[in-house]
Amino acid sequence: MVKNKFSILRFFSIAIILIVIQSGVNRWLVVANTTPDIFLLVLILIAFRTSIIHATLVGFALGLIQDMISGSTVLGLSALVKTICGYVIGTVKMKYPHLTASVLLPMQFCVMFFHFIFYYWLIGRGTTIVFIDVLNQSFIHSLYTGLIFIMIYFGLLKRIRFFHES
Amino acid sequence: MIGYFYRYRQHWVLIVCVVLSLSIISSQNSNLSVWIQHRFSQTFSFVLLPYQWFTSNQELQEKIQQLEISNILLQNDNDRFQYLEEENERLRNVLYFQNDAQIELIPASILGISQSPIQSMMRIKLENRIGIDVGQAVISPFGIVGKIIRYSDPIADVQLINDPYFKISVKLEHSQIKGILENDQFCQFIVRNIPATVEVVKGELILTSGYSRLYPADIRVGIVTDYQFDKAKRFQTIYVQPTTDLLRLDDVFVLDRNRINGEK
Repeated sequence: MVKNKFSILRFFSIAIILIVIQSGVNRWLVVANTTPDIFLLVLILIAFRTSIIHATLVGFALGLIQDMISGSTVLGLSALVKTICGYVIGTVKMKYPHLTASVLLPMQFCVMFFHFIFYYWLIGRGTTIVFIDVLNQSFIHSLYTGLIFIMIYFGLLKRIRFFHES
Repeated sequence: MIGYFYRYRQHWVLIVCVVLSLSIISSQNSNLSVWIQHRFSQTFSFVLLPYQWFTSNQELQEKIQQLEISNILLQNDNDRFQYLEEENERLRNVLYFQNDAQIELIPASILGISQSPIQSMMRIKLENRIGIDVGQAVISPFGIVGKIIRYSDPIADVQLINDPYFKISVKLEHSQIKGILENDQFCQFIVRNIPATVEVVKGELILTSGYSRLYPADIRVGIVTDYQFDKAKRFQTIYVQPTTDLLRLDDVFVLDRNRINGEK
């Protein structure tokens, strides 16, 4: 079973750190007009270690904070996509608790990819942006965010055995 | 019944969160929604303080040196412009022109930047809150930054120049030919349909044309990096590098439109 290692206090600490990163530091991480989605990274990290309910609620809360702080024109959109992301990751983690990093890392990339497709497709509706641009941008964004995730994983999380090792 | 809800509690949480998100999305343009967003940004603007502390002493020293150099150069320019202004005024008086170009700047600090090829926004906090309105231009010492698209005292959302939907009327520095600067979805700034007969020089400045009510004339927008003729060689497309590096900005200024027009 997935252990519940999450508390409200810890969530608020993470949220404050995320707001600092999103507002201050993220602008230094721009590559090809894309910044890594730090909120999504943290959601994935949290969702892999908590229950489905916590993952869903954290997804909703982080998405809402991201919408509030980043000046998104569609308030609630990140909350929607991150809620679904949290639920999906939580469900996968609950059903297959012994998946190894070699499976979970590609899976987190897929989750990011679908997250960005959903997000960009919804935000680009009614505009001149075509679906191929959405796919293109989603791939770049998830690749960049995924690379940051892998760096964090190999730099820090592997040492604390974040995923189950085979 | 309770057992049923408890058994499927994960699904219920998901449904509640999705419904909440959808209801927030559906009320996105309401004043309350904008107000809550801006209030949140204002409340949490204090968390940016640690980030500001990271600016090292050396960086400050370099900044001071740069500012001193800029100061000397500006002083030099100022002397020259003072002479030119006097001459200009004298000539205007001779020609009976009215001098109405008074620009008032309102300082603002940056709270956050959200950038992607689909949307580029900046959230700013205004120091002096008088005379702010949607549509007002935001500039930096390096040139145009964007325009205000939402405002709820004292926070404003700015559509940046690299937003795909941002367009601005510009002119070439040398030939004074006018065109529309736009973003082509892949982070490139272009000015289309410039007649092929116009001589374009790489490194030439692109300035605001003054045709728009939002932007006064002769504010720097970018520099020509390249140009390309169409197949029929009748028009050319100019590629532009903005003079403002949006990622290195610390402070921006809002142009007070009313004062520009001399209404105050």
